[in-house]
Amino acid sequence: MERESHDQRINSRPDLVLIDGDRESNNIWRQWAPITPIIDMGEIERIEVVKGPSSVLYGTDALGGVINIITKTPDFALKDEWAFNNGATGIYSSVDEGWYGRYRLSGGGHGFDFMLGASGRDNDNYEDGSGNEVNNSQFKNQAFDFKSHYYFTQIIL
Amino acid sequence: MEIRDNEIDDMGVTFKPNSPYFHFTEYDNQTYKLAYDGKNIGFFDSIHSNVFYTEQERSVEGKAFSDDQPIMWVFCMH
Repeated sequence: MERESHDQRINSRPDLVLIDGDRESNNIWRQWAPITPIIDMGEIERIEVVKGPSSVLYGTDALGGVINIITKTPDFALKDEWAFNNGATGIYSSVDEGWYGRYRLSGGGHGFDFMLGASGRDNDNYEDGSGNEVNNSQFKNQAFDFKSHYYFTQIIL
Repeated sequence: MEIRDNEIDDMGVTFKPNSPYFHFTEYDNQTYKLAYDGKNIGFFDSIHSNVFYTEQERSVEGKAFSDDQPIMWVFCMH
């Protein structure tokens, strides 16, 4: 996803990028590559792709298709007791001598939950199949995200 | 409620083979989102409202075109 070029649109037409169903950054992204500046990849749960013109359902910009990025969400609010969960992810890639790290803390109970995440990435130029370094392919960023839910009334399942 | 902050300090763009350098020195994106879901509220069975604000700063630095493969510009006047 980081290396997607301007010409790799769905069906060579502009496509609409949504995050959790909302067109948060589509107007300022405007088909610029890559998609990743608008979200950390570690926060993504899944990506749904609808291929083909979809403006009847999704409105303007969905000429080539729709890319809907679904983010991870905490699931503790409906529990009757407090619970917490944390985790860390580390990735090293030799092709660009890059590393990626992410820490996530989530928890909640009694109608409230939250998820907190922080990550960092540093990749140098990568090497192609012939072992040649591809200029201007480096990437370095930090990301922070926080998500929370609160139920005003008790939910009975 | 959701807050998301993604800050890129250096992102290269493979603009053209052998181009000297071309990269974003800043590509920051902040998003703030607030949503409300209501069920069985008076006349309405279900209400969903969603508001979000997104901010982005970009700056780029580079020499876009290659010395090895220069672009030839042709101007025509009629």
